[in-house]
Amino acid sequence: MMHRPLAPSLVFVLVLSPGLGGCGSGAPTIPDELLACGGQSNEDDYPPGPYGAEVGDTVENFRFRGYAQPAASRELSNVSFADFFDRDGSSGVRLLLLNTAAAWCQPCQIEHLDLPRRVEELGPRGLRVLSMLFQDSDGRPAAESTLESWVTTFDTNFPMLLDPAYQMGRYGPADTPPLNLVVDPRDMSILRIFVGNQEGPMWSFVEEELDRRNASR
Amino acid sequence: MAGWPIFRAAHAFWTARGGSSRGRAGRPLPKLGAALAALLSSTLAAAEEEAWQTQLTEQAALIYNGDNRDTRSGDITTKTNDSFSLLNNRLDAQASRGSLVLSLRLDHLIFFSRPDPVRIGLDLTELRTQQGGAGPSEPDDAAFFRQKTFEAGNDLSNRHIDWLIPAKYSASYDLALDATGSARLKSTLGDFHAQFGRGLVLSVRKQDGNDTTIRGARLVTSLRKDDLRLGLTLLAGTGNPLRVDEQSGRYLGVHPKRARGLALLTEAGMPRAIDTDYVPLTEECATSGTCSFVPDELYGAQLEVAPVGVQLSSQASLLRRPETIDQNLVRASRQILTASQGLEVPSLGEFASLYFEGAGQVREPDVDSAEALRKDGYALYGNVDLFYEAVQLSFEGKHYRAFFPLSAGVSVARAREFSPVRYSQVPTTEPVWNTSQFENFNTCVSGGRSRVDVHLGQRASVFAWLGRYDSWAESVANENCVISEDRRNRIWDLATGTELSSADRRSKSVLSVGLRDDVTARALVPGPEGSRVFYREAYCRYDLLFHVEGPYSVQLQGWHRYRNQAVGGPAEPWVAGEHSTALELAPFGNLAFGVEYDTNPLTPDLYFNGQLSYRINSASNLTLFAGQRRGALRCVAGVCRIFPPFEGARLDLTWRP
Repeated sequence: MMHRPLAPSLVFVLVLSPGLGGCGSGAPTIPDELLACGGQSNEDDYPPGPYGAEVGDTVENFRFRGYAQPAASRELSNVSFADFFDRDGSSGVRLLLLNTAAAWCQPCQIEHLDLPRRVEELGPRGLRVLSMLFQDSDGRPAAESTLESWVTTFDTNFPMLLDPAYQMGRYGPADTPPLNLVVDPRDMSILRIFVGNQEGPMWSFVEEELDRRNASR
Repeated sequence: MAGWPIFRAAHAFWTARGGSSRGRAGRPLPKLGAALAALLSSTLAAAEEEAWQTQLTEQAALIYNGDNRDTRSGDITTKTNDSFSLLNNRLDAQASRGSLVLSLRLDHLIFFSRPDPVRIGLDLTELRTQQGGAGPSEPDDAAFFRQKTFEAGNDLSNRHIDWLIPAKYSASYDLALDATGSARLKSTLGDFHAQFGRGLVLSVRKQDGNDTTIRGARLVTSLRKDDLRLGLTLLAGTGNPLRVDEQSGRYLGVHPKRARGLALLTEAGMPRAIDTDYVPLTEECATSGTCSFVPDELYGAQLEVAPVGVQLSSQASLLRRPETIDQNLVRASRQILTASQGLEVPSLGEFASLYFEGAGQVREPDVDSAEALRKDGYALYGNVDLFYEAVQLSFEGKHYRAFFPLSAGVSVARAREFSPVRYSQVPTTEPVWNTSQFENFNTCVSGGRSRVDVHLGQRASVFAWLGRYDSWAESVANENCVISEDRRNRIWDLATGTELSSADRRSKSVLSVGLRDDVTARALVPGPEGSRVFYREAYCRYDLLFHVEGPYSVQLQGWHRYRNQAVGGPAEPWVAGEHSTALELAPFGNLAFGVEYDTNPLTPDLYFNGQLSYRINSASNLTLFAGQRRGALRCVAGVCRIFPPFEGARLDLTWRP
């Protein structure tokens, strides 16, 4: 049962607890400039909110800077989730995989050793992968040099972007990477959330979903 | 003579049945009922002759968490672990009368202060401004503030909430079925620990601060006749891990409307998923942000037969999940059946002992995403000890293929602190303090460790071990356990040390140094300078106790590591370790000072702490800890987890009147 601390169960707590309290600081004051409305990336052609972080919810349209096609060009450009929104399937996007990575994270690196091969194999069947690198090996916000080193090391062949503000924190905490969201590009809803590099279950799900979507067209 | 009434009741039942298995005339059920009633009344009558005995144990921890210096830009998890204080009060009460034992553990968590999501949003926005502000394509300050406030609110939705929990309770009765006590029946209703064999099939016990139990019913019967021993254990219930993680303040919540089957009974009074300003409570656990646990149903049986000098055990466990809320291979399995056969020879000609266990596992994945997944696995484990005069040689070996521990049905996304909770402990054959088995190392592995101890007289011994393993699931995610050269990690682990003691045995020392070399069969980093080194470590450990004079002793303990990790971790090798110096004043208590360090750039470099312990009596003590403790980064089963450092103070009381 939920219980508020009306009667702490030890006498010594009554003696010591005043020193541990919140000191009566009250609610923090929010500066007016932080209360301004508006989003980061409002595209006209994107499913409207409400947005959420659970299975079935629509992902909010985030925008990142990075390499849109690292295998072809190392030019930095802006990429947003809206670029992969495919309401009627005319762009050939059947499934979208949103991935996060940090340079200090061992499973992220293990996953990226394999991801280019998966993209080669499943890209023609309609899979698009978008990965957001958020921290370097020292835990600092990822910078261009980290991104360059990453795509060179792993021969990345899909959009690899920087997320120094860790916007993807909406979907999973920064201390348990990697995170993989499988998203339906027709309405940008979350189909599955995989915390970690759950290779077997995730690719099994992705392949079955691709088969199903391609068969129904 | 608790056994006599039972014997009389059994005799009454036997007589009522006509004294023969053929005597089925009449109405057997009423006769059985009468016999059971006689059994019950006679045992209760016997118990009434004895007085109730009670025991209370009070354990209280008063904890203050300050700023643990791990703040990183944009990372709310480094702020939600700061600035909270709590009382974790555990009251254990036990009453016994004869063979009847009743016990209850009440956990009461009271949080005095907690982090504020808005404050965290403001702090992280300010930190980003100090570090140069928003970069290209990054959200502006208003959007960033909203995002971080929402993330913090989400993360704090199942943390720092007051709960009064009937954490453990049980009633058990140990019954002698005959006058000599050679046949016994022990029954338990409520919470209990259980282990079959070496833990491959089932192991639910206290470990590393976790106290997971099964809440349900267990029957253990044993029979000893001449040199033959027989034992049968049957159990059923739901998994019951501790529901609040003291370090993070996070709790495991069960959906208030989704409990089914056994859980309807076993989850009464336990913490529930709640609705918060940031996370709605929906009709489904899968979409409720504070629903992080679906109690697993556990069933088990074990038969032990022990003729002279040999013990055979057959055991099986069935883990059933009413609902899956995580996508990990094991947690997403609806049902896992694990069975094993064990053979133990405790004494082989007085110079050896051996143990062997072979286990199989069948998993039933959730409805979809199952086609390409391997659904079965097996494990072979053996242990041989040889003794010859002053020399002892031990060998532990393992051969596991797609054999997974029985992870509890928690959502790692919502309650990552509970990801280690499991109902089996697959032996590693490595020292318990080893933290260098990464990813799914132990699920697809062959190898073992040999250790030799040589006793040089009464007061000195030297030891050394050599471990050699091949794992196919450490540097690649390989849940299907495909054996191939490009997935293989080759591991050597060796150590040597000495144990010394003084003539009066009041001073003693244990010293050891060791190495671990973990390389892959393929180049890990592409290119001409590609390296095959996955992980390397050199370390030393010591525990030195010097008796100074009278009641005074000094104890030095430490572990110092030089580490190098090619995949993940810091870009360069790093060192980490700890040392503590304690002054012991027997029998009153001790005073200790510790220093810890870790040059991994993810964490602060230095940590200092002090601890004062006072023994109130032989069973009660009071301990004050103040200072800092380092955290850790562990990457297991495809997920990294940062264990945050601690900075603050805690007062621990254990009191037994």
